[in-house]
Amino acid sequence: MTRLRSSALLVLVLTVLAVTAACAGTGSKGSVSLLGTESDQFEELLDAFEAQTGIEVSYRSTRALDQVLLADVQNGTPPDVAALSSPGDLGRYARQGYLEPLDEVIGSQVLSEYSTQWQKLARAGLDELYAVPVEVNLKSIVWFNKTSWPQPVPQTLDQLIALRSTAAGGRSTWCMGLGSGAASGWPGTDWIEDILLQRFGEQVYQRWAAGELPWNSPEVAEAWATWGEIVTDPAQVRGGTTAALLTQFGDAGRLMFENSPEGCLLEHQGSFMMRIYQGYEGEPQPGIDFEFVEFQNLDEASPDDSGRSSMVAADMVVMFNNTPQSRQLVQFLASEEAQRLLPKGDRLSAHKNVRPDAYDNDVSQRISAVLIGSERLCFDASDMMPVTMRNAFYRAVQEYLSDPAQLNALLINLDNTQESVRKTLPKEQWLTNSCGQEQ
Amino acid sequence: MSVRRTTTLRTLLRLGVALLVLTVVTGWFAWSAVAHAHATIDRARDSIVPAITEVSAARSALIQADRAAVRSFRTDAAQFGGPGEEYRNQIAIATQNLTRAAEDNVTGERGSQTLRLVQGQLASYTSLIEQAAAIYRQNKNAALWMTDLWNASQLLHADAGVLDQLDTLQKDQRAVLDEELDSAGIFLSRLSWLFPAILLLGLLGVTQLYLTRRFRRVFNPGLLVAALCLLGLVSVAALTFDAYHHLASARSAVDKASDVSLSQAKAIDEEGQQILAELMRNRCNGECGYTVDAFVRESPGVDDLSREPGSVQLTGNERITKNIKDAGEYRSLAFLVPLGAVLVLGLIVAGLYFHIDKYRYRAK
Repeated sequence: MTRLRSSALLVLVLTVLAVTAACAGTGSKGSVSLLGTESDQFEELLDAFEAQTGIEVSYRSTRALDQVLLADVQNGTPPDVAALSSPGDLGRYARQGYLEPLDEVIGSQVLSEYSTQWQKLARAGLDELYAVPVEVNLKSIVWFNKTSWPQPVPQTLDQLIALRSTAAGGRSTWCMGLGSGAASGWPGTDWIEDILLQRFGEQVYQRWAAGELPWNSPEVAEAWATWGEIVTDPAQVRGGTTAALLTQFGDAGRLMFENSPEGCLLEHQGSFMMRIYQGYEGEPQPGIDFEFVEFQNLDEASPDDSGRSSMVAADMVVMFNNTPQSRQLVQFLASEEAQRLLPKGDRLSAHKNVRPDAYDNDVSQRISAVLIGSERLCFDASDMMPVTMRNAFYRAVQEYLSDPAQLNALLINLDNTQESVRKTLPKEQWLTNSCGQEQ
Repeated sequence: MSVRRTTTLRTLLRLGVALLVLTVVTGWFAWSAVAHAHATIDRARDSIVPAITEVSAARSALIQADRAAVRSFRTDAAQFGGPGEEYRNQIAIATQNLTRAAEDNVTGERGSQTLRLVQGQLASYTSLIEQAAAIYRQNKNAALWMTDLWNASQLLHADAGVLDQLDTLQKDQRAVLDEELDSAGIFLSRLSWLFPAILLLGLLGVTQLYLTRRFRRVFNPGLLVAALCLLGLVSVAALTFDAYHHLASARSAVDKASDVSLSQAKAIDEEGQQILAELMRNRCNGECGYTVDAFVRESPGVDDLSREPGSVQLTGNERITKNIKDAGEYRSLAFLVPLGAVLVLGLIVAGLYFHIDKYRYRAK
């Protein structure tokens, strides 16, 4: 019996050892959850991170990131790390105490590897650093098909806006699509923001984005009206306002590559369109089939004589749960090693050491040079606004196109909305430095 | 003689211990298998199957709501009744189904997140439809109601839209049911009691033979009855095979009902999309931009709106319910497994005690 008991004990011990060894053999160093927008956005980066650290990343992507994240936060189950596309949301979560400061997580050495301007933008006017730009985009861009750029080339913004179909050889001038599901209207807000920024400069732009310049001010009204001139002219946008309203933003550029009277010449859209264009029929390639000009380079002088600014957007990594795995993931995503992987996926980095020559085409190289070299970058203003204001802006753009004659009433309504948002939101929840300038 | 007595006693003790250990092991595994089968039946009946049918019902209701809304614009009924009663009823049904699906969620945090996302998207969808109706009532010629109607349709139909999310969720739910019924670990756990039961039966036979030879008795009544009790225990445990068979039939019924519902919903959805295309075609004259023009080109359109629209008939529920009920038919016999094991233990002890006790006495 004693031998039997000894044997049973031995089997038990061996089993426990085997199970322990099996668990240890997986090499798991814990896990971290990450929420992003696109399914393949961080594919290469996360593969490298997992291989290097043994930490498993549970990555979830959704196009309705704002909505999903808000629900997660309200349920008390936020992801460990998230990639926010809107600094407005960053400000809200940071000021409500949901985010962990990153100054010490990232370290001053790594931070200094981003340009001064991106360091300012990443802080978004907050007291501490809560976000790191993991992928960035230039938005002050006009794309065109290399074979059909209008001659003579417009030299000023006014000339560009005044381009008519006669100059375009029968095709309409602008490709335009405002459709984007529940966020429809944002491509129109980009237009208005960019015109305001180029016409009136950073100070005006930043005051407006911060809710300090009324919507009904002459500057803002002029930006709307300027865009209205373009979009309400069927020679400029085929199908006019109705077509612009009903076209999905990702479809609008297709006509740029169609050599027919239904085609269009130019599209005002962000640098992320490169990936979308390459997915069209015929797989147009940057530098070969399409090119860009910077919206801000069209006028010689800037309104405040300090050089022109470019509008940018960024996916910013923030940390909701301070765990060793979260910290390691944030450190890795901000590192030069991870940022060097972005060009492989046709994505742009704000890291100074990811030089333009890391990109395999001239178009990306020139965009990268602006993104890491310019000290005059301003965040997309609507992204900086509180969500209620942002959605009202999107909606107003659509209503304006539906009935351009009601512009004044729309701007007054936007001012009223701003007033009511101000009453419900503390002043500090508005982000005030969209261009990185102290107000 | 002393050596021989000691050997017999040792053999009897070893056989006794082995029989008792095997009985405990067989009883434990048989009880685990029966308990696991009943837990699976409960989980399938109370959460997995309801969750699948609720998502299916929500999906069908949304498609019917969308068609009703588009139809009300196409027939001009939106002028007075907005998107219409049918639309509102179907949205209410979809909302209730989604709420119940969230309560019955079987796909963990991922499923909860999907349902929260769908509920958020549904709120945006209904808001756009109501907005479109309000604008339509004010000005039929405004482009904005068409934009809202179109964007609402996109929210439902686009990649990663509401229908896409529900399809993914249902696929995950079906995978949970498959996991419950098919995984290799579960298959092994179902049969785990069989091997010790066969060993036990064999050992009972060997012991019987040993006693017959050693003590010249024809049979030991205690061990014989123990073997009969073991066969009874095994029979009750084997009923789990029948339970799993009924569960598999329930799964087939769920799959069939989902496929029928999907196919009916697809027809209704196509009709709704054709009505939308017709509406766009009439309003746009080919000037609605690339996305809508491509959509209109690919849709044949619907001219006859006079006939009563069809609806999704949720079928197969009776068959699903009957199969799940049949799976739990022998639940009341489950107590026989531990009872059988205790009886077998008692009968083995009783059957061997007389001989062991005799040898212990002689040894003194």
